Amino acid sequence: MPVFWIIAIMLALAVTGFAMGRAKALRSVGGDRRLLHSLPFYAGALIAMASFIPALIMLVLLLALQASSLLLAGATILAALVGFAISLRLISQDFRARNAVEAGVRALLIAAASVAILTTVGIVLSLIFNTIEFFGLYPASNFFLGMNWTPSFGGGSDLGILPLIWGTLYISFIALLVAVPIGLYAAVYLSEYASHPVRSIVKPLLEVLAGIPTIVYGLFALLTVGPFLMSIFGPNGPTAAIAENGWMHAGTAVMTAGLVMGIMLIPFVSSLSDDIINAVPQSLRDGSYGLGATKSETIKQVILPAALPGIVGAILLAASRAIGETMIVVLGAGAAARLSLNPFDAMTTVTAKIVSQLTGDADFASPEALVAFALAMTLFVITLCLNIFALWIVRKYREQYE
Amino acid sequence: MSDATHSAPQKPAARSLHQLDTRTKRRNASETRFKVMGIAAISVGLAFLVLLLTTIILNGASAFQQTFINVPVYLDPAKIDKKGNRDPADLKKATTFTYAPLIQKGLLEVVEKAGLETDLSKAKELKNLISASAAAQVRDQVLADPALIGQTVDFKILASSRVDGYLKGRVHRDEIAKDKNINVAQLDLTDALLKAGVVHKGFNWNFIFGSDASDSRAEQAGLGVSMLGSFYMMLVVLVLALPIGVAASIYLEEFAAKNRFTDLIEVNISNLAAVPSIVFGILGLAVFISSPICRNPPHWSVVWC
Repeated sequence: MPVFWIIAIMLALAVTGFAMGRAKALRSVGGDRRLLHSLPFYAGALIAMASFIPALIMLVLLLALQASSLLLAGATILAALVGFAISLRLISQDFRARNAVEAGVRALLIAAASVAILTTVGIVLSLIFNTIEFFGLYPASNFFLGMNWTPSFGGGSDLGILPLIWGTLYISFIALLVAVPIGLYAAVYLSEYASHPVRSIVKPLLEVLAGIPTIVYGLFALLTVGPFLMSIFGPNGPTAAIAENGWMHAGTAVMTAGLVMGIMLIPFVSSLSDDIINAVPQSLRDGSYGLGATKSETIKQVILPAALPGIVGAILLAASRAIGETMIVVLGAGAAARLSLNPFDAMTTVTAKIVSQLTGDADFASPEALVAFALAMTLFVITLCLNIFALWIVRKYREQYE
Repeated sequence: MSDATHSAPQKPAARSLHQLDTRTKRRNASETRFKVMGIAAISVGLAFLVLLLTTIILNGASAFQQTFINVPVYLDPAKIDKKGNRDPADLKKATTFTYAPLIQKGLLEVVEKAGLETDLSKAKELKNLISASAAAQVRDQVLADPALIGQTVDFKILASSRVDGYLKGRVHRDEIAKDKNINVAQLDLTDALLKAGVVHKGFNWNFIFGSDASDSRAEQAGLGVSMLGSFYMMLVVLVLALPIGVAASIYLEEFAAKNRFTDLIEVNISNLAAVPSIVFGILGLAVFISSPICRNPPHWSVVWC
């Protein structure tokens, strides 16, 4: 029986249960609802919940366990009927249906909130087994300390993560170099200087930058920024006089991806810092003005120090965003894993290599494909640490004024 | 008598508030500098936005226009319907290879009728002007209405991507020496046909409603099907994320006590927002693609995998 029909039957039971529960509650007091403990609505709602929710959990569980379709339909509908029957029996004049419904709703809300924990656990579980399998095939010390990344699907490949980490950090560093000054100055200007109309126009405009899909930024890097940088730093540009063939050899480079990623991160930095600067109490500003400080002195010596932990948190969040960015790097930074200091060289990042290792032709059990899970695990741990650190800083700051 | 007359207090140098000393000047300058930096930062941010949008629009706008060719095609019964019985099953046996020469012949007749000068004298040499999708377009129309066979029907067919690129300035004459898919004589003819009004640009509805296309018929590409996919995905995400997200926030704001568990949930939620999307992709890979339900799907689970 298709899942659709099972759910339809469950829904029908729930609706019937609502009507019957309501009717039974009213009948138990002869129609005088003043004598009931809870309003008749709660009796109905309880039966609807009791017949629908356990059955839904059963359905999802059995689907995940791949039960046969007969067992699936039978067990699910049985669960719905049992819930229905038990809750219907409970309904009486003094039954506290309202409390039961409240408790049920509360349990549902807790379950919804716990989805976040479940997802994290799911990510860790799905990564950890394959990562362990990978380290069984490839020594962990070679992975974490290897300076070469040369996967060959035939086997015998070097899978050292250092060039990828270096590329990731270098690109993120350039991105932050672009985004942090622009974002911070923009945030300070918008929150301290700009008039209300200017602010109400400019802030949403800047936030448009955050809403553009990253693949569009990737195309922008590939089609516009790369060729533009090539014309300046390439073999035909002015730098050709300093170094042979110029500094840049292809449109895809750390600089291309970093610049474009920086543009993407401007609104992250500016919006978060703007909120934090606005949260600095007005009394601090007034005190500073009262001592004769100018506006910029107040900002530099009073507001920014007060907001610093929050701003650092915002920058760390932007950094974790930059480290995890995929599409801009795939299109803008090239595919060569390389340890180099030249920002105009093509390099690659952890994320880009996860994509290429999993979309390749490699057998799923080979170290060349499994390395993607180890890379993802590393990435997850890095961003997790960054985020927890950022959250810790932001929270510490919040406590100062509340 | 009094000391006051003896030693009149030295008058301090006249200092008006309107007269700025160097320190004040320096502080004011720093103030202005700071403000200008703020304005500059915002201008740079907005300039990036404008640059991004204009390059997207400039690069993308031409996709909405596509080059079409008006060709009257004689739907030759001797070729299309060899048995002459108009039986749909037999008509289906005539593949696009049957139709392509008919279109080329039609185009050649147009060229001859208009008296255009060209070195191309064979119908086959016109092949590169016409999209590879044209034959399928004509065939579909014939299969839908077999009564057309034997008539000369006007078709508005797509020009090939090289012709389209030439008219849009993407393909240049000096770059096509090695290109097998177009030659200079064909470009000359394109110019002549454009002047004669046979080749013309029109709004490309297929781009908005069509499906993707292979490299050999890039001109037929459309994003309708991909848009459908995106919207479907949006819908699924909305249905899943909205109730769970709202319920979680209600719990955290209205019910939750301040304890370890609540803290754990909050840290997890803000962490999930910053986990790289590629890691979620791997979660999807591990949970759904390699889960038992999809490795060995039961018959009713087609929808799920």
